[in-house]
Amino acid sequence: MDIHLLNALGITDCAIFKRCQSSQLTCLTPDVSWMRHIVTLTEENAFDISSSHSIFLDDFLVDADTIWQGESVFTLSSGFWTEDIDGETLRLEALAINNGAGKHYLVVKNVAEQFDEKQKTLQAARELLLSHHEIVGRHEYIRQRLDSELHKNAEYEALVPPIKQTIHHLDTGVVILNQHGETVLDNRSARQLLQCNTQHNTALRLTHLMDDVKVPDSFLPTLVEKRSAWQGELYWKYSDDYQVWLQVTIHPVIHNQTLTHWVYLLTDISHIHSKEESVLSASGMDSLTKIANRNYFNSYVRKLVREDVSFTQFLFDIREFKKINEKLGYHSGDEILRAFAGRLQSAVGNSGFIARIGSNEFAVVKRDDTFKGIPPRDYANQIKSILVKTYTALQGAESNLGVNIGIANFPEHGDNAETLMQHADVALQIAKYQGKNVVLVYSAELHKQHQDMSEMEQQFREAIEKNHLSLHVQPIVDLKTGDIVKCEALARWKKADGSFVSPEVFIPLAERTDLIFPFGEWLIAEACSAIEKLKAASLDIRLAINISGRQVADLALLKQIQTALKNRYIDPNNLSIELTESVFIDSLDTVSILLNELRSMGITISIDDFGTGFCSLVYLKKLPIDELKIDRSFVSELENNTDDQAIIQAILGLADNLNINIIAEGIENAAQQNFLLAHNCAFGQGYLFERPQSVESFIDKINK
Amino acid sequence: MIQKKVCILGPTGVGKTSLVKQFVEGIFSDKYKTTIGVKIDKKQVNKDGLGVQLLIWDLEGIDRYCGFNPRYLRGATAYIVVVDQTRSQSLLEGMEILAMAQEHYPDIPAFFVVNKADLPSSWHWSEEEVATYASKFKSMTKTSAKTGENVEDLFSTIAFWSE
Repeated sequence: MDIHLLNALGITDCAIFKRCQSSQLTCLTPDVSWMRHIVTLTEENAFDISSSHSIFLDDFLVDADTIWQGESVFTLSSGFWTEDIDGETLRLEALAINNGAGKHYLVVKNVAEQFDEKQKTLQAARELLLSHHEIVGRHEYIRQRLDSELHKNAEYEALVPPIKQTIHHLDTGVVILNQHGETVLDNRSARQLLQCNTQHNTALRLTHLMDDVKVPDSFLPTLVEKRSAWQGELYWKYSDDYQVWLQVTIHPVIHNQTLTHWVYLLTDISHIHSKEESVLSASGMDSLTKIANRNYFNSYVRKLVREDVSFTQFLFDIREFKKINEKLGYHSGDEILRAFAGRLQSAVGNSGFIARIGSNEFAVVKRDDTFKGIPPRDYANQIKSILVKTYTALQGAESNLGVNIGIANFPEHGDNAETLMQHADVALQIAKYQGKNVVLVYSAELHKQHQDMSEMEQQFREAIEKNHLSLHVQPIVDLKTGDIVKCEALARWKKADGSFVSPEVFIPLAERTDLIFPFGEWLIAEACSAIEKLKAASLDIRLAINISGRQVADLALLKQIQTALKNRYIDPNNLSIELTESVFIDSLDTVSILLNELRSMGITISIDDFGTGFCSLVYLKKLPIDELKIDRSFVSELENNTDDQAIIQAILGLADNLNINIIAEGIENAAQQNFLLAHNCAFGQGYLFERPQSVESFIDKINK
Repeated sequence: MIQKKVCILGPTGVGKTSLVKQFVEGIFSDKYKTTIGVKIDKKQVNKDGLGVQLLIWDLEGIDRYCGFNPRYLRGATAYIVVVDQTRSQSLLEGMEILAMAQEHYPDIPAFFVVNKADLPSSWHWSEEEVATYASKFKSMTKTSAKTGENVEDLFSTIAFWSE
């Protein structure tokens, strides 16, 4: 549409200049009324730069010239500026445009309306910011004053009157407790905020507050130990009628290495919280972390793409954040997210743009000319080392936070914002697949790997839904007698084209995605069906199924097993579960509950692939473990490898002391069997005895 | 007449615009109104028969909503970093802003202004600590945009500053 018409309709309000070969700027919109305040036009509508009335525009033309002399497509914005010229207050923004095909323009926009809108939003946001700063500053001031007074070590009677006088009229709630947690002094503001009455004084109410927000017992002793104060925000839902956001400072007063008092400072900040969310959202900020939100991030990246600035985009994913929320509670989870954003902001500083783009996903964009020669991958690793350090939250500490990072570069890995985001995400997904704290830069190989994985994931989903998986069993035998003592259930996947997919491919795939849960359900159901078939053939054999770490962390698994056994009237003594060592590292508490429950039902527990992980011996002693399965990697070269021999002997000795049975996996020849027998290994599994086979063929073979 | 460009930098709400308004128009308003982008003002300063026209670039406060844009400092003969003595956090933020400005323009003289001198200070730093921060600047001035204390002197000093 014609720009004159757009201007006339009020859709735009801008002056456009075209730059010709001789570097002269010719105005295409000479009738824009306010333009005469900033430029003087010749009779031919040329912009006489020497007669510019705008200091800001003069300065911007230096940058504009650099853009026009370049060869690439680029749009540079000056940002908003205000200038009083000829008694008129003008709100303007200038754009220098290079279309890459030899056409160059200068656009000066009248942004009075957008300016007012932006000012309105930022005014509210900054007033809240200042008001919160003021509260935090006031807490800090009072804390220091009280600490100094309480350090005077004066007699109690001498100490109280001056402090009482000081805190009496404060709007900030102040409570001073002695080392036993009894109220020494408080003020009216504190009593009001804590809803005190004749039965409940401030000390008691503080106990209620700390209980209600689930502060662990270790929190206050940690402050004493660290000799540091804690300051933060708490949401206290005392009753249906009284819910409040509090800015809280908790300060231990320590004199001569001894705790003498506790100082609690409290301010109601509900008004800030109620306004903040809407203001932040309107200004493109995430209300929890106060950094940019996804929308703002996307528009920022699109802007950089339009300006054709080369930059690198980093996507950060906090690994298994759900578990942190479950372990420490959502309040602490939020606290960790805020701290994460703060660390990211500090690490990136002003040389990059950071945003929270998902519940546990963050992003950084950094112009390539700000890396100072550091490769983006190294830069990401530097930031990662800061992000994974221990987080201290009110309800406990998280020392095991994992962060994966995917990286993509503009224009190398994508020429638009959407492609770039997809490609950074491809790198992130593969990084997540590879494990914990992995940093990957997008590449064509990663893309191919990602496509293959996505395709495989879809096929596996269908295989579960359409029951294209089958269950095989492999016997575990008594090495002395050759008698079958139990069987391991193994899933097999035969694709429509007749090819088999190895469990080493589809099991990690299931674990990486949520498919592990439907797959786990399928496995439990099929195992129960197999036990029924074995029973029908008069074979009373225990069947072992493998349970992944992610399933174990979910207490729903227990219910699933109980229901499956009950529905089919199966004796729990016919079932065994096998876990890998890694499950103990991430979720010991949940695992412990689950294993004790399963054991009490009569289900036995084995540790699979023992020796390849990092299983602490303490776990073996504390948890109800029946068997250890020595990983096949130690057995495969057993007859020739003295290291493997030594490891196996050590495991056998350990198991003997702990009264745990041992099963050696992957036995393929008699020499291996003889060595194991000679060192008192009771049970084994491997091709030497039987290959995995369908339940039907196993039954046929036994019955023969 | 000589023209000199001076940029005013600092965290949000420390009184940058109020200082300029006091200097240029001699007025003060208690009402906080956030600056968006850049606001440009001019004022002539005279001393010993010499006149200098200051082109004052009042920049939007640097905070989570607005980053530091070094482009605005180009061609400046000096810049001022303003902090607020009633808000201790503003001193730390001011030092970060100084570091960013010096990274891009190490040769432009920087002046330190501690504003709101009419209000009681709530800083918990000692005089020595503040002096350490101040030593990174050409000078430190305590001002009050409200009363006008030291405001004229500040801009006059900058207008006629010579190394």
